[in-house]
Amino acid sequence: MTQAASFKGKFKQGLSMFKWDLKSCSGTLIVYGILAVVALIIVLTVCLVFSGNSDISYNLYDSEGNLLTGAALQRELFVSAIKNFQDGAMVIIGLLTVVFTIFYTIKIFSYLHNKRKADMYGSLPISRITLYLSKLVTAFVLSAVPAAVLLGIVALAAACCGVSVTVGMMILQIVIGSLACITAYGLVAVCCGTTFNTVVMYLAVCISYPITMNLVAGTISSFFYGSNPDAIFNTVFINALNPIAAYDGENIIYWLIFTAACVVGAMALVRKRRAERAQSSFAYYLPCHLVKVLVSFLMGMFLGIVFGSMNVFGNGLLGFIFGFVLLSVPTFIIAHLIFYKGFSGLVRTLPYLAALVIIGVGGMTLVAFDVTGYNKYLPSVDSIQSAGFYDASKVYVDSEDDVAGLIKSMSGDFTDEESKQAIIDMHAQILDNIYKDSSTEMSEKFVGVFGNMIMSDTLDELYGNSYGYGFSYTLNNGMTVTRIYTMNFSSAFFGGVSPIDLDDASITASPLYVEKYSGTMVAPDEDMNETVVVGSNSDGDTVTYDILASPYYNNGKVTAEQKEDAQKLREAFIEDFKANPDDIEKVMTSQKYWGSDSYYSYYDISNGYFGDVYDEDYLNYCGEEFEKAKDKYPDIVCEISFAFELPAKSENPWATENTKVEIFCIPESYTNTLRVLREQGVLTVQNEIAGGTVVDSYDYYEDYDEDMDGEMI
Amino acid sequence: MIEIKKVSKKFDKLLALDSVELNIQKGTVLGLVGSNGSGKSTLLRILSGVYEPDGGEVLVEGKKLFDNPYAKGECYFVPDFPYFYNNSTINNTAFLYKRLYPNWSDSEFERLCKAFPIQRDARIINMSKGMQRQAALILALATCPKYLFLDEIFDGLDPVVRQLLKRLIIGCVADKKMTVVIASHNLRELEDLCDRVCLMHRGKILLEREIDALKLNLRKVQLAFANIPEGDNILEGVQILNVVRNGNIFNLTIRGTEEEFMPKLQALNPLYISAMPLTLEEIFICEMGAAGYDASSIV
Repeated sequence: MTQAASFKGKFKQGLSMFKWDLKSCSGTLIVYGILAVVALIIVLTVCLVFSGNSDISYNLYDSEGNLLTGAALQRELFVSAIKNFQDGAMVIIGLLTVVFTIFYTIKIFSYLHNKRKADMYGSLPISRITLYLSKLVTAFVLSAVPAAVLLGIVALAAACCGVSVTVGMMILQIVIGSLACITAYGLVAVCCGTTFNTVVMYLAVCISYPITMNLVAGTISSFFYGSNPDAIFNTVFINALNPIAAYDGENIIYWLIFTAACVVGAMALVRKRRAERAQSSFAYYLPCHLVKVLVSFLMGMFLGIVFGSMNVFGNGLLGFIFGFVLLSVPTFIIAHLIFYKGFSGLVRTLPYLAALVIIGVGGMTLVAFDVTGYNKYLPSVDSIQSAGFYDASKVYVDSEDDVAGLIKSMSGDFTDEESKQAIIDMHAQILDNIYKDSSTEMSEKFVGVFGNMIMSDTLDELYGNSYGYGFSYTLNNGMTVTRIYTMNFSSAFFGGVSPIDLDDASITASPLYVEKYSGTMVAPDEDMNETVVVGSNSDGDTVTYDILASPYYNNGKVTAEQKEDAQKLREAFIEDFKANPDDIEKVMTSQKYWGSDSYYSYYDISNGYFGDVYDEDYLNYCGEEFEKAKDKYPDIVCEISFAFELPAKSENPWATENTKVEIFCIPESYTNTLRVLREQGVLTVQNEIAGGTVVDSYDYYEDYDEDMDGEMI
Repeated sequence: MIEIKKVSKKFDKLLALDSVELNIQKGTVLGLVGSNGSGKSTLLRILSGVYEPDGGEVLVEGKKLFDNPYAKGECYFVPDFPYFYNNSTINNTAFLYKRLYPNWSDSEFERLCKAFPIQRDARIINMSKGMQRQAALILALATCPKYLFLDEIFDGLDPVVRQLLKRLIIGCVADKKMTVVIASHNLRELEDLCDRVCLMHRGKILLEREIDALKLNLRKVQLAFANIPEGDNILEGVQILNVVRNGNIFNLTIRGTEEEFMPKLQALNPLYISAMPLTLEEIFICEMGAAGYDASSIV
């Protein structure tokens, strides 16, 4: 008993064990290194050959929009090759690291699952916790450090070539992912008696948990229509127990907490773990029961929802119950047989099965009958302090914005009785549309579960979907209630709910709404990609004049002057808008906002081309709407459209870009705006457009169609 | 000194150790013998800190052993099947042990490596069973433990190495006051090595005493009569554990010293009488038979 119980002593012991384990895993490490280096060389070769070949590369332009040639082109191709190499390296190293982390971790924690190893390690003069921690550190170092070193070399090579380094984030992702995966596996390993059970349990959790959570979230979305699916689908809960998701590099704080919880939990358990449980089924039984319940719940939910969708027994709920019980019970028994290699202990665990069936069936019954009255909730004007309204097509939302949070924050927007009543009436229209429809049938809701799972990013739809609405209310007791309704793919195809267009101009065309939520008022300068003026020329024709034109349709050339002009015009407009609130009716006469996605409704106002070739109304929109507006309000001089690029978050796989277009009629009272237009040479002193393109010619549209189809329309 | 106080251990429904009490004095060699499944290996694993007792406690020099690395640093356990990694050699395993065991001796390690006919850089996993045992013993003795626990250590060792091992252990006990606990079915080897023996059966200790005293207290006696004395119980008053009669010749196993039983036997006027000590194996069979565990009761 000569040693002192010091931290230093423990650290030295842990370090010795760590070094020894490193040696024992050196073979696997060498295999990893060889594979990684060979794969990186292959990726580099492929990138240099394909990305660096000017014959098979697309035309490249400089920042001024000039086509690159010669040495500049070669340099750009090389940069492109190195960037692609970095992307390839991230994929290769990431995959290899994930796979080898599993190997290392299984090998390192097998000391808990073998009686002979248990004898050896159990008798060594090192505390169980120190031993466990040293094993964790070894597994982590073996996983993360080689990957970090390789990515570091890739980054260094890229930096030396003068190319921006993009692999930095990947190192962090690997560190966080390895930490979460290793500590989670370590915790499961402490609970299990065999490596087989550990691997099966770990994979069962990693696979079953996110699928189960998606099923639950899909069920909530489908059965609680108007709920905020973002709160479930896009939160950390979906993958909370799936450490492999930590490799995404998102929710880093959560994964650090997860890692710490796994380490602390394992430390507490490993100290009292019975060494004789090595090669038995389990050292601690509770996690096993929970995994059995999880897998059984997943399978039960799956068949239940399928049978519910099929309206088995003529009733969706009865079909669900039948399917749930039919698959969850045998799954529970099979999982038990796999883990225990027999029926021993099955009877003892039946209470877990009973609880699973009761909670599954009971829970779904309560949800199906909407016992809380959630679905048809509609407040009265007297019961709310204020109300807010969100129309996806009329609110500028950046990809980083929290749409659900925005909707919630809107609850204080309108406090007057008239606006509150208008919002409640629109809400009522939505509910009427839903509940007159077949979607109220139970089986349709079960169908909607899968639909919501497939198209889970409901709020993403709000970015580019003109059929998304949100309502928020601040109740008299201070609480905020929100409801979000989208006609996304799932609703349209699986839920049976058809889209509805609300006449919401009384709210969305109000000065408050435009000022707070339009792109023209809130979008950052760099997102403005088109500014076009529509008006009449001296011949009386309706013409369009590009101030800022889309680079995509204009040989990629956008000059700094154009940007500056557009920005000046926008600032002048904002100033006039705020100074003339009484002109709101005129200004918003032609207001149309598109959440336009190129496949559905890309409208390029600069040349009159509208992406949806079947919608001829819009082809003549510029001219007709401007003329109608002018007929109604003769003092309207012109229309200005501001278009803003939106981040491509649509589910539509064909979408290449999203643009939101906002069109304002400019009356004579908007003196600042008109002055800027004259200064820029767009308007003459007679308020006529000088130059521009006559709307009826549609040059670009015809060219495009000729290219694509070989004939003129 | 090791104090084992009412130690119990249960594996699910099986009671492997049932309130075992035992004190092992410093500098002694204790042989643990017993039937299969009697709890010898379980007791060794508790002594070495691999298992935690379900009841009672084990104190080594007054300190609890389980999960106490500082107490365990003075102990070394060689299990019946020592574990080595695929790429373990004596040298690289020594690298770890040198850093973990406070009493590790490089000189002792060198001496042992020379003493045992074994390659230090060869993979242990590729060696024969006996060679693996030797590797384990080299590492064990090089840690210079105060307490050495050996489980079926003689299995697979050739007679020369067995003798070498016994010499080394005796030397360590003599020179360093090392305490050794050996569980084995090889009673012949234990007989040469142990000061004391502990006989276990079904998780309990049947007896524990010095081997000499044990031998002294049991005798094989051959008794031949010209005419067998008349009477129902001619051997009354003698504590007989076993009798085998072959005509007028009796082979007896008697508990007690010769001073106690010889006068009574002489009084029967035998034609021939001789008393000899039992071997440990004979003592084991005899005592186990007395506890209801003999070949005839099993078959």
